[in-house]
Amino acid sequence: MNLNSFCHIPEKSGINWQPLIKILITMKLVIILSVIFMQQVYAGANAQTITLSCQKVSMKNIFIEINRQTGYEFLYNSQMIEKASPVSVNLEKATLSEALETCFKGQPFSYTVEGKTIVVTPMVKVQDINVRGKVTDKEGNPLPGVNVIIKSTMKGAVTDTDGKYTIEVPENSTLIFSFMGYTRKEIAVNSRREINVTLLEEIAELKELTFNAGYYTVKEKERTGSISKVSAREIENQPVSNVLSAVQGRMAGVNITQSSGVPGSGFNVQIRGTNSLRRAGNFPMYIIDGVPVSSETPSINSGAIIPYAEINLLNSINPNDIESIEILKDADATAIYGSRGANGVILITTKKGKASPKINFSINTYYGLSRIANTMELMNTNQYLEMRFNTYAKDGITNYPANAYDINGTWDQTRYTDWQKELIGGTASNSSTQLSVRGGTENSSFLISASHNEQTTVFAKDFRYKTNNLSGSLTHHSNDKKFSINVSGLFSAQTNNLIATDITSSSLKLSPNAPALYGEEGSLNWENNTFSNPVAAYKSTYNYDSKTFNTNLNLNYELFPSFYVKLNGGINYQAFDEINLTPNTIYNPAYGITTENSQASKAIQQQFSYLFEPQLNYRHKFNTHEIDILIGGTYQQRKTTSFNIFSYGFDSNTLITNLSAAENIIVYGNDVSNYKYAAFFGRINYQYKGRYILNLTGRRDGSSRFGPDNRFANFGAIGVSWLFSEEGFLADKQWLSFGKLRASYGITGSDLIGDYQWLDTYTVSSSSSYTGGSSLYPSRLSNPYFSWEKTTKLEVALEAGLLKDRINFNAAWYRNKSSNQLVGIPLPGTTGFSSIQANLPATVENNGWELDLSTVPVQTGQFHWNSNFNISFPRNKLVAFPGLEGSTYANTYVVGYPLSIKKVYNYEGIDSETGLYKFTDYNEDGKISSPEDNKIIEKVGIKYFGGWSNDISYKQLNFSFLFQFVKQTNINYNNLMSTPGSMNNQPVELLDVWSEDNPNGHYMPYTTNSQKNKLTNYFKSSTASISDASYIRLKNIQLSYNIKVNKYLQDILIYVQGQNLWTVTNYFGVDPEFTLTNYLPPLKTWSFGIQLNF
Amino acid sequence: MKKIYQIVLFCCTVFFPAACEELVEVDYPTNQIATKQVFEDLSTANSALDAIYAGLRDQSVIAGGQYYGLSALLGSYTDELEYYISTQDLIDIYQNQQQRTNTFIKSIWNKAYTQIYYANSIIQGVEQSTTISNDDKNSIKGEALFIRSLIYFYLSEVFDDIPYTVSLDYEYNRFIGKTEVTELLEQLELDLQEAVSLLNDDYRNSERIYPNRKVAELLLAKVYLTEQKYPEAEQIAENILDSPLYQFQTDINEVFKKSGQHIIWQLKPNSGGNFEASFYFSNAAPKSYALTQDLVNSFDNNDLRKQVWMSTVTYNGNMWYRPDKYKDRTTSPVEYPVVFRLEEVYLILAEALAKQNRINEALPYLNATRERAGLTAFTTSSGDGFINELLAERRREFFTELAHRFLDLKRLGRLNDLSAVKTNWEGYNQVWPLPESELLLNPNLYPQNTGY
Repeated sequence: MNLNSFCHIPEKSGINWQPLIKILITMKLVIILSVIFMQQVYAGANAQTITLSCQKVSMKNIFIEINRQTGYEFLYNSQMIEKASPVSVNLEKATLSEALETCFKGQPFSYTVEGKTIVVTPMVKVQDINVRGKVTDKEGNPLPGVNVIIKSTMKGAVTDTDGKYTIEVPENSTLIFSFMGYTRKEIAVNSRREINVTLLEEIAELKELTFNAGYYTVKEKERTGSISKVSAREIENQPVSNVLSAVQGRMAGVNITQSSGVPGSGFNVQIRGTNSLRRAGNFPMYIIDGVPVSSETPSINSGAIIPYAEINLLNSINPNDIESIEILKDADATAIYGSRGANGVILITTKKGKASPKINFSINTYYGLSRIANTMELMNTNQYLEMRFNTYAKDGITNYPANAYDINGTWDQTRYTDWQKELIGGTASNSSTQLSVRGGTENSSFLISASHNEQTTVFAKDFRYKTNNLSGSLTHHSNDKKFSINVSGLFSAQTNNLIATDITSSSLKLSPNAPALYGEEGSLNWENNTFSNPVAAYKSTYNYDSKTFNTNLNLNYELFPSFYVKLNGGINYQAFDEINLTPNTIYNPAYGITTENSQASKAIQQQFSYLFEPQLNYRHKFNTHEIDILIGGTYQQRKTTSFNIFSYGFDSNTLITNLSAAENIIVYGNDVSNYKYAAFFGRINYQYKGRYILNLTGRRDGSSRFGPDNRFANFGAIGVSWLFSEEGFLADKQWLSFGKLRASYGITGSDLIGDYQWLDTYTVSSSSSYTGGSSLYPSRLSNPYFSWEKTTKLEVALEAGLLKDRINFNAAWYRNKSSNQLVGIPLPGTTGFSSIQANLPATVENNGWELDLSTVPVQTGQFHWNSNFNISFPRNKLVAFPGLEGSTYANTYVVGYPLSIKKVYNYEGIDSETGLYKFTDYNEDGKISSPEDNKIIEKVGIKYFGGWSNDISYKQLNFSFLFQFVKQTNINYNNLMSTPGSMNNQPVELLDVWSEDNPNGHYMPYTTNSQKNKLTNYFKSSTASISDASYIRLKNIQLSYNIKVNKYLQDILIYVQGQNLWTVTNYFGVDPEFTLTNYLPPLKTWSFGIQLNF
Repeated sequence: MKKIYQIVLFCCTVFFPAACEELVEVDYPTNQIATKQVFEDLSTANSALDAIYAGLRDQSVIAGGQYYGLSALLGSYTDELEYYISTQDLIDIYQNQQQRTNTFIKSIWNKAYTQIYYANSIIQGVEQSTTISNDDKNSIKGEALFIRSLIYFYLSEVFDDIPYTVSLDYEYNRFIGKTEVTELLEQLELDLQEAVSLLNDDYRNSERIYPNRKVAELLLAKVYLTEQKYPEAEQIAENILDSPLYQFQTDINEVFKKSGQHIIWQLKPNSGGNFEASFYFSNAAPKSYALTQDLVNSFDNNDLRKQVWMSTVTYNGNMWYRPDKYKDRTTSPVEYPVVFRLEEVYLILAEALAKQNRINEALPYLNATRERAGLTAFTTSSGDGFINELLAERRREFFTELAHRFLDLKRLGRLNDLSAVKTNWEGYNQVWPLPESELLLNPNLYPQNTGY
């Protein structure tokens, strides 16, 4: 016993200890001497036994009794002993220590036996001490905002702007220092008054980063599969409403294109190329916090404004609520998703609460302005009219047709309107506000976030897209860490109000001298019935109202050491209401169309799905072996109900939104469909010496989408990796900090064919009703025998970290083969249908290289520069397609070529004698025809693509940018143009007309002759219509400044962002990223934002 | 290690499916009924028939209002309609330059065979039904046979040799060969004779929107006429005229009214006006088609049909004519699109008699419609003169209705006369090309029709 501490007596104590201390000091010396000299003598005394039986006797009497029986002296403060509670004991021949233990039980004293003396002392309370210190990074710079928490409590402090903290802690406690981006440190106080800490950046331990692999997590170092990850830092604060927009260009092998610049529209995501011959068969699987969701909200009425009527589900998640996105690519990573992993898996993990000494509030808001990123240079009025007049002049026509209003004198020929500017040249605003609260202890934490976002369009009318999101997460661990539970929920309400039909194509084609849109009194101008006013379309609207609810429950219990029982469950609910209004006022009143013809279409859809996934996990480490076994089951059920009505004939357009007011109401659909899915899966991961890793995954899947005989199928994969840098011969190489070779092979599948395709049924139709009742028609040619589409995947990859991980390099080669294509086998019309659902023995191969290079070029005290570069070289090939020649695909695909080819005519140029386009007449029959003469196979599509991102920070200033690049060929505007010389505006390039004076002219002289214009049609599908569509785009740029404020308002982050700001391209067309016609191209956006953290 | 994997795999493959087979069972969706079940009940079997009628009305060879129908396509292909807008495939048909890849021709073909499949499916369904009464079975099968024959008849008119199938087996149908047109017509005779024997004289619905026996007989008469079997055609036509169900309509304003006693078969519309939608325009230039000047000129100025069944639209100094046979554009119209009316029986009989050199007997049947239109009676003793007038009268009576003009010219061997007004007309234009996609998928359909 330490004498000092023994004698440390709190001053506030009312008891006078002074005399006792003196006695004790004297006694102590005596005792020590006694011990030394008398130990032998009294050795036998310890063996003495005590017999005591008494009820409610005072402590003092007990001491006397024990002293009587044993001879041991008690040393105590008599004032103190009065506080003892009466003792009741019943001892029979107990040893001294047993007796003392019993008697002191529950008493506010402790005792020590020193020789023949028993020293009784009051129990000393552990003292709270004041600890101060400074937290710095490894260069010695102060780190403000670091959480300093007392372990196992909620108490804690935060470092100030100088990195300093003070905290009152029990002297024997442990402090936890944590800060975003840095590794956590735990330090025992050990009564120290000053503790200075250096935190290391997490980047230094990159290889310890964990990846979410769906059913399990895996360390970067130990993974055997191909997983790309983008974390919150890279996607935060971008002025986008869909996170896919923020990850474009950031991941190798993942090609994302936005399908329209209209808010709320969809994305096309392709992970390692096109596997299936069906468009919808290429969609990846989306999983939000463990719950699989269908990637698209099935819209019925939006096709004219939202391409493919696909509304991406991720619109319902605020990008700032996302902690990370992991994309699983190879067999090793995806086979555990079996039949749904063929096209890759996108895992979205939302943010969770964190242990923190205080509740953190954060307010984040930004405002952005967007315009279309690119426009085309079109003819002005003079150029246009010259084209028009020339057209007729060439044909010797002086009497212009009655409907050639632009040149026959009906319209003012001096007007000029830039229709791109007028119709799609507006400025859209984009604003968002988010409030989040997070906090927690070591055992429990929470996060709640609410946000509101509004976007308008570039159309000249107040269309608006609004989203409101509320998400929350609760996590709890039991004290013994054996049990944990996490519940996350996400609710999103979106309303979108849009024009029903995109007017982008009008903006490119309207005559530049077309009349004004509005008359003097502000009404639509029909210019005496000669003008199809494009903005009449504004009156026809498309609205949707979408609500999404996604919740996930995760339980984990360590049943025995190393043996865990898990349960993952979830519910996803989507309600989607849409209404399309077409009032009669969109038509020229001259046609006499009345409200009798006003129309409204409404569709209401609900999707409810639940998921239940019990799992068992065994993880054990013995010596150099480490094993991790997971087995589990999945049961998922999804019920979709939809109700779709169309009505027309209203007394007044004010009633149009109320379909019951219509004279005619047709119920197009009232459907309920069910999808059920059950699977059993497992994973065995074995590591030897931490450097040889084997990963086996398997899954047996059953899906209701297949006939009873073909419901179940097996999928599986094997993955191996070798951490060669851990080998003895490389371990001490300074330049190589990490090295790994990995490979995987396996089979995954796809069941993306829609429900009930195998049934032999008649379908109820009320849309084609005959006498008003319902009618029934054969649904399809039924084939109950088709089964899963299968993709075998092979991958080999090398990962290396050089110069203490300042350079990280990752190269992967993959080859995926998709066979058993679930595509409607094309049938001639004589069968009554155009196809039958069956497994077509066609094989599509995707192979390619993916390279990732991340470097830290500069890392000094206050200056950090991280740089990431990724590039992918995808190759796609149709390997086999039995019966291709005889099928409707004969003109679309060629065996040995990519799926994206186009068969076109060979354009030879302009015949100098006739001034007409010339094409190669391959079969020499004197005429150009398909399929005999469109023999040229153009490999349209991507050759390589990637991104280069940089993140540079100096003190509190951060600057980052991302370039996205794509090398590709694609169809150009020649493919899309209207017949030159017709009453449609054209790009200025079409002024370059061939003539004897201009023998190098690109375009045939304009003509009204329909025979000659047939050549234009061939030209539009010739080699001239395909050209380079490569581009480099400054996808994102961000500048932010972080200001540390005070204890209450911790910091303020001010940021400026830009999206799609700058594009370098030679492409002849509206936008090289975007080749869908008639839809709005992507927008460029500037935004300014501020984030306050409390 | 391997053992564990094997055990896992064993469990997966053996125990799991047994337990889970039921987990992935799903009920039928609410909008679908098992095929077998459809024909266990008369009302669902009738609903299956209704789907065909709706299809006939909305998108079939005889559909009136849409581009799918032959009324508009063949109207512009011959000398009835001018085409005004810029859909290339429609321009090609109008200019007699249709390609093998023409989407409208392909659509005519595909829609026709879809409806043929539906009819075959119903025929097979009722034959196998154990719960529907024999009378009902007969009437359902009779209607389906009639519809199938009607579609085959029109298809053979535009494509000549075509595949004839009564099977539902796609393995058979996908490689089926062509049946020669003469053989096909003989087959249609048999089918229609069967339909006649199965159908009742009474209409299933008083609005005459479902075919009765006489409807099948009329189509049979048309088949005979095409085959130049004039006595047979004559007999059937007489037979229909003898029926107490029908009465000649003498008021030109009532010809397209749904309640007339001259209506033999009409389709129930969704709403008014749609069946002439392709032709409809007012106060502006034509939306798609307008009547040709040639057709307008073929009418005598005091022909009531010119005054009542067409209207003029003047706009920007131009004047166009459009068909105006159906005037009621409301949602519950007094007019239904007519497929067969008694006038046609008169003219079939006139033709059958004339072709048997019984001109005098034939004349009253030709003059009935003339007189109703306020024209004087036509007289002649020359067979050719009669046929010429018959052709002209049919043109005036049935303009823009169900492609009568093309069928008449073809039957009477006069299609090449079109070259007088159609500059691109070539002899091979008497038939359309078979859709290219069909030939690609089914090599047994070769050769392509000559000229294409």
